[in-house]
Amino acid sequence: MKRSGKRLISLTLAAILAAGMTAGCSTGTSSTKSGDNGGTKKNVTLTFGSHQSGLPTSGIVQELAKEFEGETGIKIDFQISPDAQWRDLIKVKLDSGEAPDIICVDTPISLVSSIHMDRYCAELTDQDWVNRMDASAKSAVSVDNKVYGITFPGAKMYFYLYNKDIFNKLGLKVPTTYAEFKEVCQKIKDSGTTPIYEATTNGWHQVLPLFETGGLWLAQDPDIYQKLNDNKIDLDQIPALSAIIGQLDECARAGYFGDDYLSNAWENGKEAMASGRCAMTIAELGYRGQIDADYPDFKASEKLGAFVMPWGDNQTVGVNPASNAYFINKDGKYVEEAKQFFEFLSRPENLQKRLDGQPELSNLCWSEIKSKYSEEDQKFLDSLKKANVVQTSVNYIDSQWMDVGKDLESMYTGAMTPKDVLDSIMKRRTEQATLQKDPGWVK
Amino acid sequence: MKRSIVSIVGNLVSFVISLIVLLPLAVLFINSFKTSAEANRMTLSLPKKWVVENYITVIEKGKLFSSFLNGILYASCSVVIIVILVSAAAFVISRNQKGINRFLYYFIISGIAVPINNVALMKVLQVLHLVNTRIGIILLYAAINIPLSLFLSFGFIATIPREIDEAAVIDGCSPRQLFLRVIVPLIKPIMSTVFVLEFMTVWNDFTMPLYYLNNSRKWPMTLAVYSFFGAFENSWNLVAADIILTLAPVLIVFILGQKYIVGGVSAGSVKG
Amino acid sequence: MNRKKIYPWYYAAGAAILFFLLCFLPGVLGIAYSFTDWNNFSNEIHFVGLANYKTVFHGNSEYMKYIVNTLWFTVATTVLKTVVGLALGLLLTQTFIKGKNLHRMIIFSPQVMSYLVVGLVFRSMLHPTTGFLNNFLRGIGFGGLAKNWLTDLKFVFPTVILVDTWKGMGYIMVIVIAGLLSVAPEYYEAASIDGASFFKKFTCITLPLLKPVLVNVTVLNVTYGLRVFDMIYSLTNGGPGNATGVINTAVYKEFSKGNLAMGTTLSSILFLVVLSLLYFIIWSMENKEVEV
Repeated sequence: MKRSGKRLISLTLAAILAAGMTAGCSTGTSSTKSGDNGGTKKNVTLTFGSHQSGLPTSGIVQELAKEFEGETGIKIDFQISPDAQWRDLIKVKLDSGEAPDIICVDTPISLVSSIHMDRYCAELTDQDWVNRMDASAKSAVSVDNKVYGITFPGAKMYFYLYNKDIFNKLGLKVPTTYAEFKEVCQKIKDSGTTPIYEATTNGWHQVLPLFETGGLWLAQDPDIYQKLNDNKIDLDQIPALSAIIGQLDECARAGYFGDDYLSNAWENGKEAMASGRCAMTIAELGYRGQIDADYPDFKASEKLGAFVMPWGDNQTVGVNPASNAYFINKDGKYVEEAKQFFEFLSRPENLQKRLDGQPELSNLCWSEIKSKYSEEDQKFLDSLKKANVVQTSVNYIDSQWMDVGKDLESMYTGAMTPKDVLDSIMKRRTEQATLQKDPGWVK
Repeated sequence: MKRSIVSIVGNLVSFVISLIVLLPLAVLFINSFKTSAEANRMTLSLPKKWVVENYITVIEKGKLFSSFLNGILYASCSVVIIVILVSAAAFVISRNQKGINRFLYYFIISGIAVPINNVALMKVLQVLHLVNTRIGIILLYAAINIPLSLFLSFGFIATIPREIDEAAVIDGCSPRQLFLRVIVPLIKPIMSTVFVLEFMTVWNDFTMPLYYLNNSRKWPMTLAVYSFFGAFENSWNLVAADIILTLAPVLIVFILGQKYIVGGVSAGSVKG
Repeated sequence: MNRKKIYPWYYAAGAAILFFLLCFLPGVLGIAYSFTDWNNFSNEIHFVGLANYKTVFHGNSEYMKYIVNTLWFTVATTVLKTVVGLALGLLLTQTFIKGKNLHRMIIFSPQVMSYLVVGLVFRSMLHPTTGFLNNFLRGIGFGGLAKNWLTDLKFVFPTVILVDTWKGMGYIMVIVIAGLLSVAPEYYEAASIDGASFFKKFTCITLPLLKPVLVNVTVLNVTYGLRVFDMIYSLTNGGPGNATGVINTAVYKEFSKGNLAMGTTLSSILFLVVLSLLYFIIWSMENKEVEV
């Protein structure tokens, strides 16, 4: 028994080792071969580095890459890394010259706090497709009017989606001010339903009310974004921001987020809305399509209406042209092939495929492709006042997004006051600015 | 009478503890058979319909077959290197704890605490032409796991009576013969322990290939799981299926090596 | 006999060279960055001396909290894992337990699960309304005990410590069992003849003989506890707020903020602490042996 056991182990290991070795060798040789014939169209493999949230889970980008391979013979190797490691990883790789041929990073890239893609990436201004992108999207992938990347998702707009049935049953009407909003929440709570689905564990969702309400900031002063970037004023001089932080605290204490919002994950939001457990949540209009996909019986597209976040009496919807974009590593071996891939992706039929293949996406930043918004939605969107969100215009906000999320969490547990939250946001801005020797801070 | 009560209580306690430990694994297992909407909550309720296709999706989409072989290759090769180098080092260091050997021991043990700095490591690997190569990643894993392995095996060798060496030397053994013929058979248990423990460590790691291999065909199985996470949406059912598949090989290695683990650490730890 | 000849030092050279090149050298080069103003945003690196170290020890009180958390975590998990591991080891070496090997394997199995998985599964099991634990407590009529395990400031730290114990106790148990099995049964037989109670046997025979094993276990637990990151990161990400932040989550935060030099400074300080502790334990162990 003992003997045979031992023999079994060694045999298995030997077999596994042998298998591993042959696998290693075979792929090893093929990759050298492709290196030798680098010039010809065949046998080129482009590496495509991305963080896990950079590529849609539906796998549509990978499908498009397969079609591209069928057409040109150029293979695309997708390397997906965890979100948590991505920023450090890409920095290490870019600095050491080991970066992949195509890199997917979050935009806008012109903010000083972002990774400096203009330093590492090939300029694409002369490509034919560049001017077909919407102007706002183009500026998100440009530095000093030079275009470096290609981007697809349309501008993001976050609303409160609400359950029309619950509103009708309780005779509620869409709130337009914070006072009305509170009243609505209270009535829903009294009826035994959780008013708002809030998910704090993912770290980003609870921060939206603070910076998606940039309309209020601009109403105070149309040049406010520039003044903030020049450090002429600071965040505590913006009454809307402090007010909203305080209002969030108030609503959390009043129980409008339910009892266990601190343990909620965004993934469970669809179920919470579809089951009618919660009456409202902050999401994009396209979220209804996602709920439909998982809970077809609920008919989310009909049952969920939308209204502008009324925090701080805000009535302007925040528009966020930023998303993620693809860039070409200028030190890569296959810059031309990568450009060819971008050209392929920019063809109208492939843009359409991308929009169709990504359920959470409602529109592209390529106006030639018709959006998925229904006529009614489009009318609703057209009727709204719009303003750019804070994080794409003001430095050192987006980079501390998740930290702000943690601060809000602390506030909800009682470890921080609303004022502490504001102070800590300002402190981090100063820290980051000094670190980067921002002329507005470092004289 | 008193004995049987003790026995019943003892058995019950062991049973309950095992059950508690098993629960999370059961959660994963059950959720790996659910649809993505059902798996969102990761509860212990049984799936409405058992979706075996999750496993097929995971194997195809995650390219699990080749990444499985990669993982096995890195784990087994680096662990073989560790076992060979550490057994030789532990042998001479623990037998002659003077001068340079003593220094080497303290020097290598310091690696238990050394933090990994990816920028510096990347530069070193580039200089050595080891970046983006399989051999590089294998050597890297071996290097960072040597300190703890040496620490675990050092005490064990001290428990083997030195008289055995003396007898062998008097019989005319050279150091090489002494090591290969006499010592190696005696330290098999601790080396099996090191083998299993380090195999698990290397198998479960995902950061090294991420940084130091630029071709996803060379990536091991642990990284495949990230294909199933998205920006706002994660396919927990596929994640669970992937994790179950990733766990399987390690559990098999553990079951095969369990007998040696117990025997090995036993003798090794007594002396400390 | 000439020890140098029988035990040639170059047998250790392979391990030493490999370790030096791919582990020690990059590690030390990394530490050098802590004396600079290295960051994500500029390509130039300037030498700044001990400025970063000064910032850690003065100014920022946040770091002190992380240090306290780390120490608290280390002490609690070391004690818990040792006690539970010892108890399980004793239990699963008794002859009357059925299926000992199966129990041992099951209790060891969390050790092979990655932290990503542990965090994922426990976050869902500990969810206040839908999680298994609270539903179970309500089911058996102890609804009052159902708490917000991972978000209530009073419970989150103990919860993290317990989950870590859950994962690590099997490892300690295996080492303890190994130690117990190597105690010659004659000791116990002699003690039984003398009429010693179970407790007496435990304190007079088992514990003294297990002492070296327990020292080894302590080294493993302490070096792990001080450097803990994955467990915290995957379970609470340092939250709620910063309530469960430890030194290594602070390092991670500095790195993701782009302040690479500060991140390296914190990890260098941790390195020095862990190293001196490690050497101290080994050194005191060796000195004892000489005395004996």
